[in-house]
Amino acid sequence: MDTSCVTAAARTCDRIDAADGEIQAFVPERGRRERLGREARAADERWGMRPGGRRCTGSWWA
Amino acid sequence: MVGVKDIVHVDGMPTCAGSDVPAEALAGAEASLVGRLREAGALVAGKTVTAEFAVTAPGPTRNPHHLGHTPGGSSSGSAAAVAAGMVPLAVGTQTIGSMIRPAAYCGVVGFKPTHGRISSDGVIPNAPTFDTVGLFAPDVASLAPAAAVLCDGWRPSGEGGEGGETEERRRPVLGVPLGPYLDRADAEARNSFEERAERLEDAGFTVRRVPFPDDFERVVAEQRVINRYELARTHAAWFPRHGERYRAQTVEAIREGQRLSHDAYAAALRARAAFRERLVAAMDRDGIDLWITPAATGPAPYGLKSTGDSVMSLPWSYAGAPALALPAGRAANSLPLGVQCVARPGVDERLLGWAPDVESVLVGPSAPV
Repeated sequence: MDTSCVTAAARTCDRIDAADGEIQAFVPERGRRERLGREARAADERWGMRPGGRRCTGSWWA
Repeated sequence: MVGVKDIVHVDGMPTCAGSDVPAEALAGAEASLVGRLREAGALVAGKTVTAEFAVTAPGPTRNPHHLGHTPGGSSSGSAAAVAAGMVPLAVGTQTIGSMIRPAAYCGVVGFKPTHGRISSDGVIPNAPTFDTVGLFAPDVASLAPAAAVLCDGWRPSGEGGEGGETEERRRPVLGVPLGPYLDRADAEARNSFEERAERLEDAGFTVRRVPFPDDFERVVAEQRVINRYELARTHAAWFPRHGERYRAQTVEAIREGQRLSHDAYAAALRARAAFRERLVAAMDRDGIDLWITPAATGPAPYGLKSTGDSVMSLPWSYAGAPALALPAGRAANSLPLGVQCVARPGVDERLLGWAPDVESVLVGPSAPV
């Protein structure tokens, strides 16, 4: 399974796109996917690509 | 991935606090709690909807379990985002009931730590001596690591003291506070709560039913004095310049605070300090580790014009005590119900250490999420 932050960020954006039109839990943000993608790439570089080294995809915020 | 309530400053994202006040007027430095989460590896998925200035005027958020019902508030978006599975963690704040109630309405876990345990710098205040930053997650196991990151001076299990391993392994004695406070829950919430309390007894927990508090209506009145007085001072600079953009409910609350005297406020602060002492004394006297109560007066009410009644959180927020909302079944209309666990101020580690054991009994066969 791909556990990179980039993949996790994309999944999160997919979930928000799918559900938030009805629920409106998030303040609308133009360019969320691009911003999160940038931050996720930086996190992958910072935390490394080895298994267990990618803290943003840990169990509490994957 | 974490959602962050839109009264918390995050670099690169405007803070509007659910209001029409220009974001430039409200701007401030990023909250240190956001830095802690980033340093632990979290990414901010986005800002979540709040009631205006975390008071009562609701945002547009709907309850994921039934779109016609409120998700509660003021941390409406954070609770709903976790309940809908959009993010596994979200930051909220509670002044009186702004986390525990939405957690219950949305069927998620909500943790409001001891007042001051998580830094509130970079967070737009409501009533600073009540305001407390907290967390939402699907379950206690998901929430606890984030609490350890955010709470100052967190002592993990095995290090002794308040968070010590021995204390956490001991089953807590549970207390049910009988009287006018508990009577504020509606019949369905009360019956469900009693069934859950019996289930906990059947599972081996000691549950003691004791009268508390003996002066609930006074507590309600005094907290309102403190809350409204501080709210008016929070908005002393913004309200004169942008008041025409405020919604009626917020204006009414601020005006109420403006009419209060400093003497009334000072007297209410003294009453609160005395209540805190009585709360701890009652727990000591009856050997109670955790109060358990309904987390809200009932399931999420129909409609989006109100975020519901915060009264079940009121005495505990008044005392600055740590509280946890745990999912506990569903109402007849299939909306979630919750049970609230409250510990002594300062023993947040022990509350979260005990919680999984309570959670496993409460969730039972009708897990709400």
